Amino acid sequence: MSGTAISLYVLATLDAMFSGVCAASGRDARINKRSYYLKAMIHGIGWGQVACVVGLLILAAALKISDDPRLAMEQMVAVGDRMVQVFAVYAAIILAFFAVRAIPSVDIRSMTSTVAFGPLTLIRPAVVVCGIGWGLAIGPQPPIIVAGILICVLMAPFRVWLNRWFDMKRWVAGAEEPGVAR
Amino acid sequence: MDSAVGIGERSRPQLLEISDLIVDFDPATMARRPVLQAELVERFRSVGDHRAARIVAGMPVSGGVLDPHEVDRLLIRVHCEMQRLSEEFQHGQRVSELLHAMLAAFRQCGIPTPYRIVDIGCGTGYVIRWLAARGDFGRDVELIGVDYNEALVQEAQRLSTAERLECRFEVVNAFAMDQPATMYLSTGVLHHVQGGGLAEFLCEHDQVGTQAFAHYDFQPSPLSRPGAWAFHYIRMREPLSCHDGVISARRAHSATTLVDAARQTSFASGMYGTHVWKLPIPRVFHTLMGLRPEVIEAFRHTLGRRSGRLGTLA
Repeated sequence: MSGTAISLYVLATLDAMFSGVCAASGRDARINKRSYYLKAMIHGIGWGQVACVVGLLILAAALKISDDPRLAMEQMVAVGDRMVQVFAVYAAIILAFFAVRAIPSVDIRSMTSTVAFGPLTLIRPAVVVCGIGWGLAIGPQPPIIVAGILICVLMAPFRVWLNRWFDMKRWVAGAEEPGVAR
Repeated sequence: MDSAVGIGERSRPQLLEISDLIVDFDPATMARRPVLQAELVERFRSVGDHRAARIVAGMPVSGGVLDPHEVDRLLIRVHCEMQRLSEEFQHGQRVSELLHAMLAAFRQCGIPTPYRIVDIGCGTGYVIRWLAARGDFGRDVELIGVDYNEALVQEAQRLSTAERLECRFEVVNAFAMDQPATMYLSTGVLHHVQGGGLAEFLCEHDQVGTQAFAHYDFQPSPLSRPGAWAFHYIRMREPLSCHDGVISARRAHSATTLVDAARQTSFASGMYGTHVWKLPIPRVFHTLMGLRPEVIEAFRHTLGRRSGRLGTLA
């Protein structure tokens, strides 16, 4: 059980970190902005932890209302294992393209954007839905299905939430410093 | 690019970019002219672009005139989003590699320094600021960005000052500067110039002391329209960015059109970097280049392994 939970936590945190970068991109026009993206990653990870806590609360509630909590726990682990299968493949593909991007060629680096990172960003919500759907396909108890759907509603548009939050914090172009509106 | 836009409207009236029309300048005085929202909305409706009409209709107005302050803020945000694409496509590094080869060729040919590199329609100055930050060109190279839009130029200068970069930005017609450029650059500008305006624009490069130009713009291909749509949908937040990004790709000139126009100048002209390596994969951007004939051989030499990207210059 702990292996499944840790795997899902690591994958969710990685996703949140990259989501932070995506949500911060295109808001700061400086050339040198390593610290800006570092800050964005930290914000993404922070909100990822919030999402993990909310997810845990949803699962705890599902256990609470289940007629058979022991069976529910076993089914949650089985669902989680299947989710990890999908998300790990997606994460591995992304990390592999980061390795390709390390090659110091303008063409190779720009191609990773056009061929890989752009399309992979586009399909991210679908991957979340498919992963959770693949997990729920084992036919668990109704409370677990409801919990899975709620977690899907939380995580699929995670980058949209993060973008909204960055909008509210005014991480906008034209600010003197990121986070300070002009 | 104000006058050029007018020419474009006559030749292909159905393809209008919002960013071209929400600002208006007097080309002689560079003074800002008011833009009436209702007129602009009607203009987009008349060409069947209802999405653009809705975007313009949602912009803040004061007495029926688009609020220039809000328009400027919007354009700065849009340029910042566009910079993200330039970063992803490694555009700064791409220009830097070409420029290093070009400057080495100038030196080999004994062209006197300083070399003035002028980026036309620089917007918030990403290319010039990137070159200043990472290009390592030496003190005999002046990096200058010019644009008609004062707000964008001010933003470029603010960003440049914040990072202590050795470059400058001016609100001026690139071809009416006190001293002409040794080399003119632009990115995503040529498609704003349509019809006969393209040759007129390129002929203005024919100035004493100007040795070359390199204009990067979208390359039309079967993939460019869906690609532009997908990338702008994924990466952009502002509806204006999404709209204009796709229209830009649709308005882009073919290599033949660009070269035909450039060959009306006294430069030897051709395309550079149309395909990825030697594969039948078109690059997102292609580059219209023009060089003085006496620089060509040196440039081919200084390009080194990239010389295969340079097409026929005539």
